Amino acid sequence: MLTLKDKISLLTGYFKTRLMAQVKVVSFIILYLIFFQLFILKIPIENAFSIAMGIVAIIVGLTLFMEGLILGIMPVGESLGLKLPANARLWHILIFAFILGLGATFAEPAISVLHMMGSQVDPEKAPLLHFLLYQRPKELVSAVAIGVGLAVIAGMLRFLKDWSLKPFLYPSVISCLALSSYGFFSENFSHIVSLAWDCGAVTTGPVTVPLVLALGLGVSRVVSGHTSEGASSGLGVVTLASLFPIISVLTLCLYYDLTKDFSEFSALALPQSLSEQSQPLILTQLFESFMVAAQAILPLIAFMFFVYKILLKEKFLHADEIILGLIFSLLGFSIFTLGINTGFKDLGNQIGQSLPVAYTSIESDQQITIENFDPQKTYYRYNSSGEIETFFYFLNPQNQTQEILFEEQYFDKQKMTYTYPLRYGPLWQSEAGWNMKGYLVVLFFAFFMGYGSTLAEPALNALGSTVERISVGVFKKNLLIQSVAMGVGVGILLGLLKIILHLPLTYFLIPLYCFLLILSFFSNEEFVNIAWDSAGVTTGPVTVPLVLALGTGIGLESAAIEGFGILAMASVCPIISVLTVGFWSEYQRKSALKYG
Amino acid sequence: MDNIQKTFCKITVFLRTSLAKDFFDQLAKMGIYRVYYSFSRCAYQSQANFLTRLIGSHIEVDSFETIFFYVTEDDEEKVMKSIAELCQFDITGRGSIISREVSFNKSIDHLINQVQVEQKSSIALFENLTQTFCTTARGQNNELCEVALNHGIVPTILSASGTGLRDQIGLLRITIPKEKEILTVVSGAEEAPSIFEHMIYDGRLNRPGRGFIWQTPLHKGIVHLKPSQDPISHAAALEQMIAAIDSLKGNIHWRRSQQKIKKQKNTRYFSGYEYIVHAEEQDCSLITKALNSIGISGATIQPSKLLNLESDDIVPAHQLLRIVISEDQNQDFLKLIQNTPIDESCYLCCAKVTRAFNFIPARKN
Repeated sequence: MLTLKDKISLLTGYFKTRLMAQVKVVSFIILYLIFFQLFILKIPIENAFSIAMGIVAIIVGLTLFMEGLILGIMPVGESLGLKLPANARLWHILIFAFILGLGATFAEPAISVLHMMGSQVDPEKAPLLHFLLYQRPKELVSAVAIGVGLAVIAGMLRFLKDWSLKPFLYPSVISCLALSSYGFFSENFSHIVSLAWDCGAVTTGPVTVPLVLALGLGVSRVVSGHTSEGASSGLGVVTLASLFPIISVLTLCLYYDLTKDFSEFSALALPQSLSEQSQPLILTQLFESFMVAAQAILPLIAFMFFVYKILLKEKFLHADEIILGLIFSLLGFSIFTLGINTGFKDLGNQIGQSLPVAYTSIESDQQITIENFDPQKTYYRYNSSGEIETFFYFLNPQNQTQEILFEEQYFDKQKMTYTYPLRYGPLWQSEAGWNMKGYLVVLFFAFFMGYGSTLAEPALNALGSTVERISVGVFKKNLLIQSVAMGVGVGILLGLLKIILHLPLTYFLIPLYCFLLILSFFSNEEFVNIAWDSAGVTTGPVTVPLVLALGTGIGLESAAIEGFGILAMASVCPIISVLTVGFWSEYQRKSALKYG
Repeated sequence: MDNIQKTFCKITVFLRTSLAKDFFDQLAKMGIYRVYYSFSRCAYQSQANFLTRLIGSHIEVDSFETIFFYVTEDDEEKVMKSIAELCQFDITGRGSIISREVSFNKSIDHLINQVQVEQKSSIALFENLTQTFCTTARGQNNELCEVALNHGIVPTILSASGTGLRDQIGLLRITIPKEKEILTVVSGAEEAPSIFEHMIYDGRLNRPGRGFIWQTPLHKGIVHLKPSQDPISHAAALEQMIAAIDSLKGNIHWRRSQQKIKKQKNTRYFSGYEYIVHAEEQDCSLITKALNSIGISGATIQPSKLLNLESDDIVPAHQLLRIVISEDQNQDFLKLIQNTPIDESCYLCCAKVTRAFNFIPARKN
């Protein structure tokens, strides 16, 4: 009944709207990064072509992946959630929940992220951290997995019994904080606190979150709760899945810290750092990212299919749609990963390396050679510490006279040439070692980077749609995403401040979380669920590489032991911002009821 | 209509989410246990400030619960009055309650609540009301909200999913969004034609793919939602005065707006029946498939939750499938329903539709 022309116009309209939605989402962060590098730091972008291709891949990949989530992954989760409570016994449901949690952790390659972050760690200074990351990674992942498993169990119990989230929040946050504050007594333990909090942030990835959200949505539609407040909203599992792993990892660390003697710890040779490997062919890269996608999606979906079709003996309503959705999400996730790995990471790394230009000078790969150089024709001057420096003037090709410090090592006596690397920065000069303006620029950059990358996070998009759907449009997706993005911006800013000021993470976490607990106590259940859930979804595949690049760029320059902890900060601040938005709309609601 | 059984009263309550928890406790005390409910939102006019003027929309939303249940005709008035008293529906801005007459295709004893209410309330119920329903694509009903708000009525919006062309084109269906919304307003019967015409005109329902509108008569009700959130500068809010006049007069017909009716050209109105299929999740698809076969393709599926307030048992998720059938298609439809193997748990509820409108493309002959 449809002509070919009709079909084509349907398809083009469909792809166009989906594609434009992702272009909108991604364009902010990309344009911002390019603008900052080119116009603020004034450093040209290398490999522009591969970066551009990477960006195209990200947009296409995200489009397919989001559509796959909506068509395939979320309906599977929801159908299962609808059928499970009525057709299975309580302990069956709990076993299912535990396996799901375990599977989700092993499937999503969070540990590789932690490995990359840990590659800069000095084993002498933080032996426990190094020990866990490189010699006991399996135990670390298992600890995280058990944490997530227990979290899914607790989440399901909440739905089935219509319990509030608050009684779960208080004890788990307090025990997280209590365990972390043990770091004040043990130097070794203090380094690992940041890792543990980051584990919580990293575990909830772009496949797990939508799946768990949809499952919760399904369960909440059949259980007895009867208001849109409370457990019946179907949210809250993501929160627990971010908090419980922190407890389990901290407990594991505590065990090793108390039982193992690290005074004569010797580090094993590190595996070659990922960034130093040579670039493999584009096809191998595509294959690798496809494997990553398949590993993240297939085992979980296969498990859910098994439970739904074999154990519950139910049929999917639109099986063809679901299969298409799964193909979309597989393809989308692999193209997206490819885009992140080839283009986006490169852009992030470039800007991460050149960011210190703001407050210090950095050397670039480019070199300038001056022929017929005569070391006699230089000038002398005293610096502030009373040493004599040699320098000369140089007229560069842009006809600007530059003052260049003479260094013996760059002078070639045979050829009489002086070859020195091109230096950038510092863009903002200041006296006495503490470059206030430069640091402010970096913090400013961090805020908008966090903001922009969060807008593009697929898991947050899924959460936004779910929240909008649950609240029948009262809590707008856009409002949620914007407030979370603001929160992440502030969080990354604070995390960077932590690295620059060399402060322990607990100085930030304890007051912030205490404040949060008070805020949550006074907020209504609906917003507590939304806010804490949004914390778990902020740190996904777009934000993490950027934060890593930023952390290593800044962290090395400021000689901090590790760049961990930024992600933990990026998780806590969105909760505050969303709860604040909640308070504001609650106030409006109350004022509307006041006279009636 | 021979297979349609006894008539009952469907009582629908629109209630602020914050009041819902107490409300359910009160229902259970009255002996009302089997209750359907859905999340919904209602739209308000907000105070116009610089920002809202810039954006051009001054509509704000708040979450509401839409709850309905069935009682016998004898119980109707006392149940409504005691709920109105308990929820203080005589105060504006808390919610509305309405009732309509429906008939079922089979006995639904387990859904009928045996009510135990004694008290006689003094709250007056209005009569001669009309409920307007309008389905649109998600997020496309701002104009319709404005029509309602201009008439001084607060619209309630439920989320739903549509069927139709989607189900006939195979996998290509993913290109047509299925998310729909049902907007519903309750007005005095005299005002209904004006609302109907304005909604068609302002909501551009006379163009393809925009939506579908129908009106059904109501029995009784109290409609006291507050259309604006502006702060008041008088001893009593305007809405409170309106409410006072409402209860003095015992009706809301004096509220009739002065807006002129914009008569549309080439519009075909029809009357008929609204059928609401109460079914478990996924069972509706059988019925929509059967409907497609006789050329009825505009059904709207609204997710809902059937509660049993007596116990904590798990009740499967429910769906309400709304179909509006014109008089001349009615016999075909009833025959089809009889021949379709529908699950035991499905119930067909029927109510009269006084006026309906749907865009029908001009046929080329």
